[in-house]
Amino acid sequence: MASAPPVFDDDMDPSHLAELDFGTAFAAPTDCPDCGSSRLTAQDAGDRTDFSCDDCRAEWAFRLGRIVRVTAGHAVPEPR
Amino acid sequence: MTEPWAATGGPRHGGVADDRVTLIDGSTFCISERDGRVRAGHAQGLFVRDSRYLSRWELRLDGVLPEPLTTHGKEPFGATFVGRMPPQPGLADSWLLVLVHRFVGNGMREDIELRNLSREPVSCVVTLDVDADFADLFDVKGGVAGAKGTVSVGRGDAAIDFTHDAALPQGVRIESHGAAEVSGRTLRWVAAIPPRDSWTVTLETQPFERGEPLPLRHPYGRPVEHTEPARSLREWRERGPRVNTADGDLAAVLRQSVEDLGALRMFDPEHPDRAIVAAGMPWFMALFGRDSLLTSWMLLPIDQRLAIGTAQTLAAHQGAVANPVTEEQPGRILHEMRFGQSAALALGGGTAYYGTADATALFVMLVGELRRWGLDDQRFKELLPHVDRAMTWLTGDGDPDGDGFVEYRRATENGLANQGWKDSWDGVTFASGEIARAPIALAEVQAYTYGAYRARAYLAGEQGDDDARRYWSGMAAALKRAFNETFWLPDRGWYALGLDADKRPIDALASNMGHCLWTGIVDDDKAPEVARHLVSPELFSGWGIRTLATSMAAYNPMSYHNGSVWPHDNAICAAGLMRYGFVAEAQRVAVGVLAAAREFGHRLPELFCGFDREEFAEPVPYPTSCSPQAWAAAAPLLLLRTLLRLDPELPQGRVSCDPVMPARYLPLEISGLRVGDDELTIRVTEEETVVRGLGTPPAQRRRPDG
Repeated sequence: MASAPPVFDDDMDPSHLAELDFGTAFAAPTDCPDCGSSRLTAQDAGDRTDFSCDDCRAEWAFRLGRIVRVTAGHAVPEPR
Repeated sequence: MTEPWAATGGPRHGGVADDRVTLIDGSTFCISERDGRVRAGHAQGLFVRDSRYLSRWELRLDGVLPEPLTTHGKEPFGATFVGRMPPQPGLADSWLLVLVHRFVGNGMREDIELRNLSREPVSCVVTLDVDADFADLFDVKGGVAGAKGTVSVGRGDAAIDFTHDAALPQGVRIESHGAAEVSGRTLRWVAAIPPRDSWTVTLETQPFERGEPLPLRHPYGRPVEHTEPARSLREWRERGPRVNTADGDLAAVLRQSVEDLGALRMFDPEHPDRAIVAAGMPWFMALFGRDSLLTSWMLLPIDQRLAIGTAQTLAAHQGAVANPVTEEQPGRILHEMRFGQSAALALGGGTAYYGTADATALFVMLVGELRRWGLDDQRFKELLPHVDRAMTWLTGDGDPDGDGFVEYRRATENGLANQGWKDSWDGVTFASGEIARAPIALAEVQAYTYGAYRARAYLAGEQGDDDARRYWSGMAAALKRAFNETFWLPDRGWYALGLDADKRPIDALASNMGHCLWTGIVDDDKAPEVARHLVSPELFSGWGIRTLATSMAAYNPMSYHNGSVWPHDNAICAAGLMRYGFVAEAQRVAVGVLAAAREFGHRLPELFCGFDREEFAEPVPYPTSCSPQAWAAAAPLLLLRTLLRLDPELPQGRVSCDPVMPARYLPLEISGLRVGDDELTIRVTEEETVVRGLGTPPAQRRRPDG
């Protein structure tokens, strides 16, 4: 008769956690942080790529893992 | 050591001193002292599109430098330098706070605020000494001073103008918004500050190219937008693998790897969904073929997105025509490229440069490895023609004299003199110190080419094309024979670094042969000698394998490629040692590099000095090292894979895992590891290894003495 499979003890002690969440780290932006629209268009901004919201016209840039508004939106439609 | 940007989330850990602040926005970056000063004659300054527009920037109050207190800022492009007027003699306290808010982007803006914290009025003379030399970025990095052409200084209304008379005219205006006196290269104000009040002035540093001003990203009068972490915006986070370990430093290094690689994420405006990363900050914020190929290889057990995005992007820009200026050749994979309209200014007219001997073979290796990790059929079919073009280059233009070895020689005087990863002008030398003359066939390039041949053979076999499989297997075997006959130095017991223009073996003892172990081109009977040398005191510093042995004439532990330690180089060497069964040696290298990571605050830099660990208890930083650097950030992941001895054959439905983790990291569990359609959990203790997720019951292996 096969032995029971081992039970993984989630209380590893001591333990330190590293989440290797590269999916989030590498994902392209999907939603406008202002209006929530998913209609983001990548734009050549000279020496970088910015993202423009097709709905509210806000423009966003990614800086070393952080996002910053380049241009504020003019119209904020109802969130989808 | 450069700190990527001012004051990130947590406290720094470890004993290595950080004395620089780097701010960055696109192709603009500013390196300064921690108090914000840019000191003349140092690898510091404000750089825009690869030129230095400020080479000196020193603020004084009554002729005295403010005393730095701290630096604040979570924005990559901005920081606040907090200081105080030094106390008067005999007093402990000062009443004058100095705040300098700096923002970079197509130039620089600085808001200076002096805050009088006393109940009495304060008056002081504020001066700012500036200079601009328009030096090329890489000349500055390499310690070469000044620009070609003349620089003239002009005076405007509360402004100083520097003009560089060169083939591409450049200029920079430093303007005070607030009345100021101008004398030579100095701006001067008299600040009369009432009690409990403040005095402010804003300075704009605006570059000019061909007489046209660049639009400042943070101009005077406009509030600066603050950033948020991009990851926080996603409500749903895709669950990736997780590592749980008893070793807090290992966990911290791995977390930092994720953060740093995310920070280096670039976007191709035409394909923003393709994950690609810049090579390193601040000096290499562009897509580099070799760097991105190796970085994405190292991530493969954990994430395939970067490898897929990298392969697709490099394939899209694969060489199509012969162009000696850019060294483009049909089938060749690029060395460096930049996106966007301004790219041509940085690369002297084109957006890509192709002068690399190894990226083409590495591209083929990556596609092969991706397939072993389960690359889907559609994307594989899109990449296969590019693989075959690369193979054509390897056997054609890559080997112009037809001797079977891939070699390089730059096509023009503007190209890179050395086109392997050790691309310093003096990066390839004989044991005597003589600089090797091109064309040069590097040892590791033959190793990668061998890996490419084997990868192509594997892909052919997997597709049922036996003729192609036999052909490329035969090419690999022939290359291996020729390599071992030609590069092995039996009287030395190591492989030549390469062959020079006269086909002389370049007899230096260097780390390059560790890459030869990695791909398997080394004959089994020679591997023990290679392993012995890699961990000998001549090469192994205690923190890692040096690029060049201490016994070599060109050895300099403070050099870029001749005695320094590079984390990515070490990760590849460790993988090679493990491949040939040198477990203790591989562990030693891995533990050394991870120990160095701890001393750098868990962020491995591009490189560090090769001083012996017994001489210096902490690794010595290399002054202009990039940090973060993509392949250094990825190195811990390859080290983890090496110690897990994790190898896939997903098209055949197999994966092997036979850990040899040092006890200090145990117990260790990696969960959520996606392997094909399965999600694995690997738990390693000192007694056993259990793998769950591949069938029932879980695979379990006990140590022989357990």
